[in-house]
Amino acid sequence: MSKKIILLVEDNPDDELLTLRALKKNNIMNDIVVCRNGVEAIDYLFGENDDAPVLPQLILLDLKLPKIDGLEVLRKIRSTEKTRFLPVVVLTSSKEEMDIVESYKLGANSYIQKPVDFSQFIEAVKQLELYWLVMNVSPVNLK
Amino acid sequence: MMKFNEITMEHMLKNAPAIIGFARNRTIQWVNYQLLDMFGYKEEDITGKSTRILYDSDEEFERVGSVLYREKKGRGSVFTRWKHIDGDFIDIQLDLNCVNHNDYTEGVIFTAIDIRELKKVEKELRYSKERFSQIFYFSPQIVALSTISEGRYLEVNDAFLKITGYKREEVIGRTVMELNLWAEPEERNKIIALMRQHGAVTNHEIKFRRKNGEVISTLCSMVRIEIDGQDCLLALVVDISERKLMEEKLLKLNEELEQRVTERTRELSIINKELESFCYSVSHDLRAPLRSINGFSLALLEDYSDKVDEEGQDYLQRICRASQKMSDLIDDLLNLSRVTRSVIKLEQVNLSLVADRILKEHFEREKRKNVDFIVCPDIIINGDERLMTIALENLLGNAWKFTSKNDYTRIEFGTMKDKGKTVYFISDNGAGFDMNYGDKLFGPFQRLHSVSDFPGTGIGLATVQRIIHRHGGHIWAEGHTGKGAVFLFYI
Repeated sequence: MSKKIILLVEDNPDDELLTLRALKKNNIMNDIVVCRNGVEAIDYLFGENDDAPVLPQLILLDLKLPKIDGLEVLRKIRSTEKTRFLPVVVLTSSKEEMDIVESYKLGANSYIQKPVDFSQFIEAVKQLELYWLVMNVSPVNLK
Repeated sequence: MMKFNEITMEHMLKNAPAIIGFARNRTIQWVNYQLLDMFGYKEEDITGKSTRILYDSDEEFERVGSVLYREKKGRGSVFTRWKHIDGDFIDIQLDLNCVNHNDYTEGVIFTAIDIRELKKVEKELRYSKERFSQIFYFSPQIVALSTISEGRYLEVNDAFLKITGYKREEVIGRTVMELNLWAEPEERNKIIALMRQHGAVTNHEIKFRRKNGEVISTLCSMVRIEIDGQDCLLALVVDISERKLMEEKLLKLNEELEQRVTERTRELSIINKELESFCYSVSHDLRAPLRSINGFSLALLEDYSDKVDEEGQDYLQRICRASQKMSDLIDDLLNLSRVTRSVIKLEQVNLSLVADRILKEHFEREKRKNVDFIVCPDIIINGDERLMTIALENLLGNAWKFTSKNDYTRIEFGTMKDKGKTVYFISDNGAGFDMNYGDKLFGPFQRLHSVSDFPGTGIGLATVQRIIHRHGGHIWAEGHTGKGAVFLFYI
């Protein structure tokens, strides 16, 4: 069974903890990698020595990140051959139209607003996982 | 003397159609019928009498004698008047010729011509001349007469002299070129060409130069007239220098104002953008800690339920609810501020379609039984689509919310006429409200129901009111506790 990795790009430590907790609650048999800003995310995905690291099955991407922000990361993901088809779910607290439009323009697969109500958040995460990791046929590991 | 047929000669003279007479030493020797007829005398009344009887006074008698005999040396003409037998005087031109220039005593032949008509015409002419002369010279605006070909001044009035600063003798007989009066000399030819075309030119702006070199702006009207067979230009000139100055000042002021307005608009637009991004950041940044509060409270509840007693769990739940409420508030406030700041874009909006969609969405989310939506079709208004949608979302959302406890839900959106105005209304058969507190309904954060009965932040209606006001309209509500509510507005 190949390792299924979820990449979580999130700078807020509270949000990080809550998301991890939500993921754990749903008993996902995945490794979760956390990058806390855009630079870390890019380093992880594209590596320095370019030997292909294991690509994640799903990327949960926050928009408001220090250093390089989420949209930049998204742009880089979509413009690099090996990561072009990775499912990216923008998970952010912004409901602003311009963020939504930009995200889709840059090729996000989905846009979810982080709800304040945590129980709703857990539900959202559960549905995300169910869809992207179980139902959806992943583009990863295809030749 | 008379070598001719005496009768014929005398007959001719006697009956001549002019006054003829013969006098010696100023005594009448002989007069013809014309004199007798004109002055009413009989031959015997006048023959042999001194001519003095014909005169008004000794002075006049002397004067005439002096002019004719001394000044004119027995051959000349004088104007005087002779007395009619009734006492009236008739103005005459008296002509005289002596028979012997060396000896007046031998006698004089005289003729008299009735010049009353002439005098009358003279008087009228003089009067007319005076009248028109006064009109010309004292006209308060400049009037000038010049020849068309050379531009030589024939006449100018007092206003001309006063405004240009010239003396009359400096102008009459000189040409416009010599005087350098036209600031733009080519204009004169243009105007003359125009005048030839149309016969006259009215209110053209021309610049003239004063004697002191100063240039003045004027409004010039000109017409071509013929005097003694010569083509002349009659010009009426109004000095509008002051008016032009005012015009220029006004233009400059307008320009400055426009600049200021552009500047202010730019400033405002920058402020608006800053405010927008401020609001966005604030709301975004406020939500993050709320998420933490809510999330970790829930986490506590779930993971440490064995270590927290019932009361503690209740506290944690309150914390959760409070944070959720705050999130709603942030959303509503953001909406409200946007409604205030956004630019209204007017277009035709079909409110019926909007209402249909909103109600359908509510029904999809919560499938109640016994629901009646009555939406009047084709309600079209001229307004901002986004804002009116928000308004309807709030109003219909409220209607749905406050009917949530009913067995039967009835929501209606329609129009009616009130005093010639179209009034739109949304009615529901829900919980209603107490009309006594009706004026509080639209105040922000005001609620007439407790949160436990019906959730809400209390900003929705304030937002709706602001939208309606921005469209220049008015909104009000009627309700009865337990019997539903109607919200009415016009825009």
